[in-house]
Amino acid sequence: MVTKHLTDDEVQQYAVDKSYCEKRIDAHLHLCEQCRSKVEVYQLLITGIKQQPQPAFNFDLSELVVQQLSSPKEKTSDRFLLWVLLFTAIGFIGTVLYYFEGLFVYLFNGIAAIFIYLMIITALTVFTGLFIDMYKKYDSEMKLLDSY
Amino acid sequence: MNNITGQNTTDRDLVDRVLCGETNAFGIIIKNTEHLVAKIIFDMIINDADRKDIAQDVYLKAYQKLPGFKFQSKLSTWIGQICYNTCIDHLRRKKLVLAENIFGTKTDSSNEILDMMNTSQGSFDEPVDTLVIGKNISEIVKKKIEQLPPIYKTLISLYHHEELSYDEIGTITGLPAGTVKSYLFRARRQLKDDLLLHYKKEDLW
Repeated sequence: MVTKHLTDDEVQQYAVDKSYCEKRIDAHLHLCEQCRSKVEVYQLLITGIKQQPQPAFNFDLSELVVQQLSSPKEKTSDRFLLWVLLFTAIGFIGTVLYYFEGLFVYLFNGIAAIFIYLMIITALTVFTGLFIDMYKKYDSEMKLLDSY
Repeated sequence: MNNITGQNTTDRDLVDRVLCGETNAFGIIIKNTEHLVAKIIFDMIINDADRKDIAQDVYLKAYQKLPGFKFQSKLSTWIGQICYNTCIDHLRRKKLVLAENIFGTKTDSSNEILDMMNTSQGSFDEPVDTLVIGKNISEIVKKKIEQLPPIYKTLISLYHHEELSYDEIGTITGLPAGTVKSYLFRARRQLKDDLLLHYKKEDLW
């Protein structure tokens, strides 16, 4: 009489691939109808799993992706826009400096040196904080991309 | 075994061609690996529109990262890994599924079965779901697979359909091979328990 039945893992392993199973499992199954019945259920289940249809996209993925790869126009226009913005910014700053140069000198004339230093330190601190924050965000996004 | 295996030489050739600027070669890579990507996406993502976006996203990422691919795994496994991570990222971003649902920590249904057996209403002699009785095992299993957590569905597909090894599945999912094996056992047990909870063994044949 069989007193100790196979574990569920052993039953599954036998149903999936009996070549990896120990001989005692095979021997037990010859004697034990209960475990054999469990194996049959798993074998049926695996048959059912294997019968599942292969999912497929209802569009031509290859064409869709390749089209996007062979459209460098977007990159060119992006770069062009970047240059336009850069030159506009330089032009604007240059114009302001050219016309209001005297005013700038006058603006800082009446202020004590200590305040000017204070303003510079504050501006640098804020700029550094923003830069570190921006770099951290960039770094975490790059790490996320690298994990792919 | 499917066409994932034994393609390393071809993969190298294709990757070289893509890196030389031949985008059509990337189209061939897509054709070769599309079935694996479709399998993962269909198992992980329910929404049809999202599936389309994610599929494109996967290959665009693969294209960008291709120069860094060192052939430490098969190209298809590497693309599968990108696909799986993209799906997980999508689920987390959209907060569609909680972590426990992604990784499937459903309570052990064996206990539920024992409970059901102790009540007259849900004994094995009386199948609860009579709607599907008479349909073949494929349809019954399909219904039960759909109820599994995404990770279980994916593991089942990769192992039983794509016939990938535990190591390959581990590379794709980022899980240790032992964990993959353990999850697969749990997934099959859950499916079996669900089947027996609703059908008599004889009904399944």
